[in-house]
Amino acid sequence: MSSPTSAVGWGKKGRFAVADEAERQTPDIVQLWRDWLTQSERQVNTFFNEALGQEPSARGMAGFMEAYAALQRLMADAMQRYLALVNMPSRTDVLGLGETLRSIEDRLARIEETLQIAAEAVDAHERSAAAPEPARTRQPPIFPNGEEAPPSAAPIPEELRR
Amino acid sequence: MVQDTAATDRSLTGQFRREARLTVERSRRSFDVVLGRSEPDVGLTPKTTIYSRGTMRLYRYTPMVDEVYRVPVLFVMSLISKPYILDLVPGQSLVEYLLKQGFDVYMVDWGVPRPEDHVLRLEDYVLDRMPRCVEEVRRVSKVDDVSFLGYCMGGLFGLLYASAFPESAPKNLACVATPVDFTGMGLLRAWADPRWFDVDRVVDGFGNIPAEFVRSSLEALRPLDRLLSYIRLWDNLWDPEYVRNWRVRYRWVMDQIPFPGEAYRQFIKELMWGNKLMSGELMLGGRWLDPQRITSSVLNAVAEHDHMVPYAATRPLLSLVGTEDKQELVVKGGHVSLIAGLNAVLRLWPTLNQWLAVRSV
Repeated sequence: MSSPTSAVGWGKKGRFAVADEAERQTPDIVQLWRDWLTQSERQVNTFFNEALGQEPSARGMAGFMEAYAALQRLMADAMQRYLALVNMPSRTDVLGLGETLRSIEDRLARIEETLQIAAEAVDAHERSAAAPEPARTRQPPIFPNGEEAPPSAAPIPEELRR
Repeated sequence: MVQDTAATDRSLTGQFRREARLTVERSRRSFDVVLGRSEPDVGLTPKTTIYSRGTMRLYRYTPMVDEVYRVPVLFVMSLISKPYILDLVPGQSLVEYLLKQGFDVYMVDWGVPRPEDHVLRLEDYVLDRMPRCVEEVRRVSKVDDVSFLGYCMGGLFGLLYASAFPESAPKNLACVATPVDFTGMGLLRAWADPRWFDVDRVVDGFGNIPAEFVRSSLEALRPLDRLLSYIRLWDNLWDPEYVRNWRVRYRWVMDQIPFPGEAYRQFIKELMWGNKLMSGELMLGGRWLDPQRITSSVLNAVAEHDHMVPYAATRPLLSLVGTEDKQELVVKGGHVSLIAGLNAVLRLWPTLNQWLAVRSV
């Protein structure tokens, strides 16, 4: 029995057959690299998961966050003293204003609710201005045997297939 | 013809030629990404704001069909991420998909908290703003029943709301990647261990927890993710569809928002440390929240390889609720691909559609 590659070696078609066989044996380098990347990713993730879950790492993460928060607070205090010195409103003052605005917003929201209830009682204006609403009578798809339709397959965007 | 041959030629020379050709294409396209040219727009589905308060907005999406299901669907988003993950771009939008399937869709967008919002507590969201939104949806739709669809912490909010108000609970509650058992939160719980994490000092120092911290904590769960994402982008940079998809998802991942300080303090103390939802001891604003009182239909959609909200943290949800009509859907994939990736389009969205449709008449 001769192998397909040895049987064809003369004509143009034969040369292609030899090349095909060779190509089949040539690994796809880029694909190998992609597989390696995915595998390495898994291994590295597992490693980091174990390492970062250890007490020293967790303590370090928490410590860094606290230190940053403390620094932020220190800077805010220093800035507040400086702004008071030059007679300028500080961040706390601006936040105070913001909170006042928020309470005004809340009050407005409550007034709006009250007005809405009143408007609904009258209703006429709202109904005349309202755009036509879709009917709320839709029924789920039903099979002849009474079962609900299986989930309809949504068209899959091409980019998600990759 | 030449290109076709190059694409199928698997010899080393052919592979080299193909890579060289793709590299030219990659280099050309890399400028678009680096310079931020042709940034895809997100959240384009037409909507109107029907209620707003502070930074919160309640949207109603314009129905896309003439006949809709009786029960409207209210999307509840997480506090720390922007809602456009549910409405990325046409063809990759859960909002658009449900509209086309015949639902009347609304969404609560909490917005980006302002510095003065650091005082907002969980009860401000669950016991005050959410009931107001539900009331507004009922007013606009003229229907008393509402379905909730919550993603991540949004699902948790839906669960808390339904526990707090069993008498006006949603008819259907679909929770996607929703943490309930915080002992299963893996690294996030380890980092927030009360032995070394002083949440009071952090909140008192920052006010709102900065978005960079939220993002860094999530990124630290898989430290190489960003680098690998860039490498994969380079590999696929020749493909405009891949690049578009990468850009919208990357934009969302980097687009975190601050966590309101007091809500964060409560979140850590009551849920992460106390795990009080599981023990049935959770109190918010003087109200006892008992999930056993929930009688809504409940769907728990979870991702098998979710590294942010692991399966261990989401799985017990169904055992918590008192309802008879409950169902779990486990999908292969991660936290984001569950709601906006291939798994979403193939499995989650159609299942949500069917699950909601038969319960929305």
